[in-house]
Amino acid sequence: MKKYILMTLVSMLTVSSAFAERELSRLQTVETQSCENSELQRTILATADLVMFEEKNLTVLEEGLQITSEQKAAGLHAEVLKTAPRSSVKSYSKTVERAEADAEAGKVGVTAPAKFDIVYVVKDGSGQRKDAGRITVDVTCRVETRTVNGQEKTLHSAQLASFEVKAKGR
Amino acid sequence: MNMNRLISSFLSASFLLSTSFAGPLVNKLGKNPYSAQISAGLESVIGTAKQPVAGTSIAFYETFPSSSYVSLKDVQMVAKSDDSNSVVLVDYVSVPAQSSGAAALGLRMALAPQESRLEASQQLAENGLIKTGDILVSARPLFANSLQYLALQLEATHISMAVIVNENGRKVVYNMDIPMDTEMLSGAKLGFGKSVMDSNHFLSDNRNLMLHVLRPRFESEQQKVNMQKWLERALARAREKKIYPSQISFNSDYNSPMYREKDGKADLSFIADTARLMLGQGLMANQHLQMYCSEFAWTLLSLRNCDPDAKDTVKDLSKGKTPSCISEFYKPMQMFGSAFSSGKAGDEDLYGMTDGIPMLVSQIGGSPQTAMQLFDYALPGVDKEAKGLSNGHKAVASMMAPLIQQANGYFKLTLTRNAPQIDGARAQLNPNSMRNYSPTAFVVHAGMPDSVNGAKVAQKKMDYVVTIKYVPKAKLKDLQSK
Repeated sequence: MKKYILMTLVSMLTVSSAFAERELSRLQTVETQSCENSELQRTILATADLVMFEEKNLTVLEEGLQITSEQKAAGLHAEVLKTAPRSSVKSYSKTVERAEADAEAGKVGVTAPAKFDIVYVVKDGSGQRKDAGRITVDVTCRVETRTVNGQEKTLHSAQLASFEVKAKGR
Repeated sequence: MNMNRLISSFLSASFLLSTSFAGPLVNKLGKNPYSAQISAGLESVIGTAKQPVAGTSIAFYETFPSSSYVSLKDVQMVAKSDDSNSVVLVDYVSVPAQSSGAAALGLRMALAPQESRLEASQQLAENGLIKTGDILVSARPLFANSLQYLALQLEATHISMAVIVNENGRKVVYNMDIPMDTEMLSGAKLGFGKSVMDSNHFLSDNRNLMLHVLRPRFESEQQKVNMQKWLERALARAREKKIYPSQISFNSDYNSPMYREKDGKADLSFIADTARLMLGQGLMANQHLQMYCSEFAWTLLSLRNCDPDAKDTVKDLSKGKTPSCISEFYKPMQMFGSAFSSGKAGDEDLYGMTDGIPMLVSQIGGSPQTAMQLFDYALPGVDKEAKGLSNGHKAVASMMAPLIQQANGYFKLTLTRNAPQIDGARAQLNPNSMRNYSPTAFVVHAGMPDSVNGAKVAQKKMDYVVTIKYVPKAKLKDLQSK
C-alpha cells in the first residue's frame, strides 16, 4: 500500500511536468544513457519525433513548414531522414566532464548546448518528394543524482533548448 | 512669468496630461444591483458545474479564500466610466462560508477588454492594481471538472512575472518569462520583449485562460526597489536576445529543479549565476542554466535583498562568490505539509505543493461531510473529456486515474485529525520527492490562511490580488457605465 502511494505521488509530479509541457510542447526532454555525442545523436531522432508532437492535427514541424491542415489531409507530410552533428558539438564535448562532476557533487550538471541538424523531406500522398531541408536543434545534456526506489542513481537527459526549421525550397 | 517658469509650467502640464491619460478601474466589488448578472456573465465565460454546497458554480479549486485577498486601499478606482477601455473589478463567490468567521472561496475578477490589452496594461499599472514582482499565474478554467490531475494542480499551468516600466511618461505592465522566446515575450502590439500579456501564450487560447495575480510579501521598500532593478535588467537581457537559449534555457522537467540540498544545506549558486546573467557577466558556478517558469520567478525573488548596483554585490559576483544577500524567497515545498496533523503556525513546511484542495476546503468552516463531498467533486475517480487538450495528455490522465483515487483517500485521512497516522504517511511520502517551487506552489502560498489558532503562518509569502479575464468589449459596456 505504501509503495502504491509512493508511486502515486511520484507520478503526480511527473504529470505536473507533462501538463506544463503542453504550454510549450516544442520543448521536450528525452532520457539518455549518457551525455556522449553518439548517445545524444541516437536520441535526437526520438526527440525529433517529440518535436513533431501531434497538436491541432499538424505536427510542429509541419506548422513550421507552413503545411496546412487541408494539405496534410490530402497526404502532404514531412519525414525525418537522419541527424548530423554541427561543429559546435566539439565544444559541447568539453563541457560533459564538468556536468558529470557537478552531479556527483550533488548539483544539477548541465552541459553547454550542442547543435545538430535534423534532415527531412516533404512528400505528397503518393510519396513524391516535394521539398527538403533541415531543422537545427540546440540540445543540452542534464546530469543529476536522484533517489529512485531508495537508491541513488545518476540520471541523464537530453533537453531541447531551441529549434529552427529551414525549408530548402523556401 | 519668466522663461524658466514658463518652461517649467509647460513641462508640468505635459506630465499631467501624459499621466492622467490612463483609463480608470471601475469598482463593482461587493454586493450591488448587478451581482446576479455579473455572476451569470462570469460563469458563461469561465465555465461551471454543479458543485456540492454551492450548486452550479465555478470550481472551488480554481479560487481563493476571501481572507487571502490583499487590500486594495491604495488602488485608484471609480464607480463607473464611459471609457470602453476600462477594466472592471467584480467579486465572485464559488463556495460561501459555511460558518461564522470562516472564509468564502471565490475570485476577485478584473474584467479587461480583450481588444485593448495595451490600454488595460496601462490602467492596471498606473492605478496600482499590478505591481512589479507580482506573479501572473496562467490558469485554464475550462479544464475544470475534466481531468483530475489538473484539479490537483489547481488548474495552474504557467507563471510569468510582472514588471512595471515607465515609458513615454506612462506606466505599463510587461510580462517577464522563461522561456524568453517569441511565444511568451513577443507582444502583438509592441513587439519582442514588450508583451503586455499579449504574446501568443496569452492570446492563442484566450477563451481558456485566466490570470491570477499574486503578490509577494516584500519586507521592505528596499526589496521592492531591488526587484524593480532586477526585473528591468531581465527585460533588457531578454530584448538583447543574447542569453537565451545559449546560457539559460527552459527546463521542461518540472520534477527536476536546479535547487538541491546536500547535508541539509542548499546550493544557491545557480541564483548567483542568474544574477550574473542579468548583470551581463558570464556564468561561473554552472556551465548552463535550465529553469522552468516558476523556478525563474522564485530565483529572481530570491535576489530581493540584493541591490544590483551595490559595489559589494557586483564584486562578489564577479569573483565567483555567492553573495550573502541571496536568500530563498520561500523554502521550496514538500509534497505534503503538517497543517492537517501536528503542524504549528511557525512551521516552514506547514503546507505542501499538493495540499491545495484540502487547504481550500479547510478554510470554509464546513463539516467533515461537506469536505468529503468537495474532495469527491474535485477527484471523483473518473476523468471527463478535456476538449482542446492533446491526445498525449489525455492518455497520461487516463493512466493516472486509479492513482488519483489514492490522493482522494489521503485527503479524507486528513479529516480524521489522527496526527500520528497522517504524520506517518507524510514521513513515508515526502522524502521521495525533491523540494520544489512549481506554479501550483505559488498558488498554495497565496491561498494559505494568514494565521492558524491566532498565530501568524510563517510559511506564507504570497497574497492574492485579483484574477484577470480578457472579455469582448461588448460584454463589458453595461458593467462599465452603470
